[in-house]
Amino acid sequence: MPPWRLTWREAERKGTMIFDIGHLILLTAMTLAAFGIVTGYLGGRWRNARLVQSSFNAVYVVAALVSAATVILWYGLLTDAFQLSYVWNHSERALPLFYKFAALWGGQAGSLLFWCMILSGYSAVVAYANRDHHRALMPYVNATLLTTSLFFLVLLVFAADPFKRVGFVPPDGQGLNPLLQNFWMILHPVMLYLGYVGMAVPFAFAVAALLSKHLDNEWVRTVRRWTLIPWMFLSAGIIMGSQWAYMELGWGGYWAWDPVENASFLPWLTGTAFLHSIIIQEQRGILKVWNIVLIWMTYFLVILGTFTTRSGIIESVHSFARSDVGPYFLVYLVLILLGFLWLLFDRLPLLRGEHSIDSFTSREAAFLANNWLFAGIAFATLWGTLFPMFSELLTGQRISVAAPFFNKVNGPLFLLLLLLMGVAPLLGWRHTSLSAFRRQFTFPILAGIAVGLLVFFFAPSLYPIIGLSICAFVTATIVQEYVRGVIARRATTGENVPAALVNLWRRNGRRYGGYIVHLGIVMIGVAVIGNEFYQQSLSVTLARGERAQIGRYELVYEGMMSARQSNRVEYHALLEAYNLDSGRRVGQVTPQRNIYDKTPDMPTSEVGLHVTPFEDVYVVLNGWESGGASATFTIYINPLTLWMWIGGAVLVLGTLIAAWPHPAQRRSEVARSLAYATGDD
Amino acid sequence: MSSTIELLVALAISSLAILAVAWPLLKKEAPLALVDDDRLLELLHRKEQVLQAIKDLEFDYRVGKLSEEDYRLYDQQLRRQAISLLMQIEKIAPESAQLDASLEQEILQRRRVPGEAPLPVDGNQTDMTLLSSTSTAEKQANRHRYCTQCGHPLESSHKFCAMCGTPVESKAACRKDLILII
Repeated sequence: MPPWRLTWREAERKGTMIFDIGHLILLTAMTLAAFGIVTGYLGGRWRNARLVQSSFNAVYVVAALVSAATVILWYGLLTDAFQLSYVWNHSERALPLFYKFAALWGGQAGSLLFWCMILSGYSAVVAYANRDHHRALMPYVNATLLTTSLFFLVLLVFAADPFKRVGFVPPDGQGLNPLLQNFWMILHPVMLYLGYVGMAVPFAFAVAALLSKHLDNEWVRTVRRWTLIPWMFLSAGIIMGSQWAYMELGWGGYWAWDPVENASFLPWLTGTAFLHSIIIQEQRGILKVWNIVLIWMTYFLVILGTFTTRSGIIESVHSFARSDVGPYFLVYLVLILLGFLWLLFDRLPLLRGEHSIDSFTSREAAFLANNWLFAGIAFATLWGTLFPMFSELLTGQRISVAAPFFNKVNGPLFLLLLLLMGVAPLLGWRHTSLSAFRRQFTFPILAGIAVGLLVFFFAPSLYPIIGLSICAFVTATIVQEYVRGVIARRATTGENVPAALVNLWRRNGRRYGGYIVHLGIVMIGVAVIGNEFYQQSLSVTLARGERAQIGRYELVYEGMMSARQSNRVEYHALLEAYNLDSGRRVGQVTPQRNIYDKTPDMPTSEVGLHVTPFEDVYVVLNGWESGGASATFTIYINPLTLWMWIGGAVLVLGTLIAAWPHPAQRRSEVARSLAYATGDD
Repeated sequence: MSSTIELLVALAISSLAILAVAWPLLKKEAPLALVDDDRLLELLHRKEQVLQAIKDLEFDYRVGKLSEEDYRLYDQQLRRQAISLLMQIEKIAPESAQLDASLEQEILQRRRVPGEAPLPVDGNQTDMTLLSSTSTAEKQANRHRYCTQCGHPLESSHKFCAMCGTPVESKAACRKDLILII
């Protein structure tokens, strides 16, 4: 309820003044965002420095206000202000402090506020970093970023008010969803949001380029780093989400192609395609329209993903109709679609390519194929995600497509993509001659064949042979690229090997950091192949002292124990694990079940794990009888899973190398701003 | 009492926020018009890109991705592009071309290799044109010098970089590099 509807005495009694200030702050931020859009747009159009400065200030002020509102909601969560509907629904007195803090993104209104805070934070950083650069683009960049902020602020003010009151002060809250009370669930959403929301920045530059008609490569060069960093967060967020699913959901896997997972994966696919295709635009001046379309698709999928997860449309069309925010999202999505198409068609004559692709055996042709594959995977995934909704709308019956559909369609496409990851770096720009072809491909192909032959003896089907051969091929490509790069540097500069390696990263971080990212992807690919084709599982009920054998492991059930925590009781099953090959005890595995006080009918599972580089012993506790005299387990052997998490870390490292500004670049940016200075004021 | 204070705080926050955004519009000084020479900027960007492409091409050649024949062909194409861009820049804004030339020279300097055989570039008319088009820039470049290690600007009297201590190379060496590589 807005402050003017409440007498001050009443407000004081209920201790809600601070939250009314929160609401007022959001209202002010919304108004100023709208004002900033107008000043940004007109300032850019009329090239009026006062208007432009006002749009910059609007960006900073909106960021400060939204952050203040977030802090107020945090204050409400940490002080158990159950008079707030949000706090009442997503927290409780006994909730550990850590989770009270994280409850900010545990529910709808809070997560939208968090979204908005990250967006306004990004906007402020972008505005500050470019306050003296890109003067033709920045007013429109501010206006576009503020438009997205405005949309979320409208949601927060009218449809999902985080400061809405219950009307009385309940003695305790209803608690946070138990599934969210997991370490990875704290980090995962933050990473995901940083990635998701950050994609609005390159989109804003693309819109600014279209609006200002500065459609040369300036915007593309500028957004590379602003895309890489959100991309890194998005990748890390997806990997952490998989880790959460693996540890918490207890079905033996890490990825189920469910709509929420797909919502994060779709912009990752188009964002990755964008990162690759802007290189072609920079190098060859082609694919200008495609790049703009790709980054628009990424932004559209980000909003669509937020919409599908927040409006409940994926669970059922009916729950969408009941949702408060759904219609707002729908209107905004239509606006983005129509506005963008109009702008694109209007500027189409300015987006003609400067060259064409000379040869199929060129790096740009391989990059183009990579783009088509990414687009194909994105389309298949989007179709599979939205299919249940379409089927319900058209036939009244809900038909879901499950994981096998996604695996069947996307599996081969991913393999092709992996293959291209090995092929593209070996090709030169424009054309690769036959002799260069031979020189480049011999070692990687031999490595692929050797591993293929080795795997042949253990392979249950053709897929893993092909998959692992391709992984070996790509790895050999990366090794070869590094070796040749180091040799070339040593020949020209006389540096020693470590110095040459570091300088490859410093001078050409984009390429050599990119290879490290590829290496991370190969590791993830190896883990996927291991899990997909070599997983073993066993369901078993064991009495105390009984043993079960799976693969080369033997597990002995020792009994149950329970532990009382602040808001739950934990039940641990103790199993001793032995390696049958060595005959030695390898450790204790303790799967557990948690029963939360507030939601006793929603017990959660924590799997028991024994991790090695070759395989995970993964045990799920399904239930127990007679106080733990016997218990039922599902035991999995998940080969090579550790490499998925290592691959994720390698990927982040590679992205950092690729995004790190090297000295020559930093200086040339200074020079550009100097050149700018000669043209204005 | 506290409610009055909180009310004042709320009003103060909103007023401050609104004032901060409106302030540039309320200032009394004459409005500044943003004037950017778009054409020049575009040319500078494109030139930078072509220089980067020349660098990349050279690296690809060194690591064996290109045959010598292809390398010569594409290198010539790119150099021709660079020359035409430089000439256009010089025509529009000579001072910008010179400012940039100092950086360019620096990039070239970084690529200089002691005792290295020159890359297979034909010393034909095109290269000569480029050389002559940068000869004025070269003079300017010697005035604007930067450290080859850390990029810190150098005064003409400096023997060592004030930032990292690297010895400053002689002008003669610089000029030789420029000629060698261009």
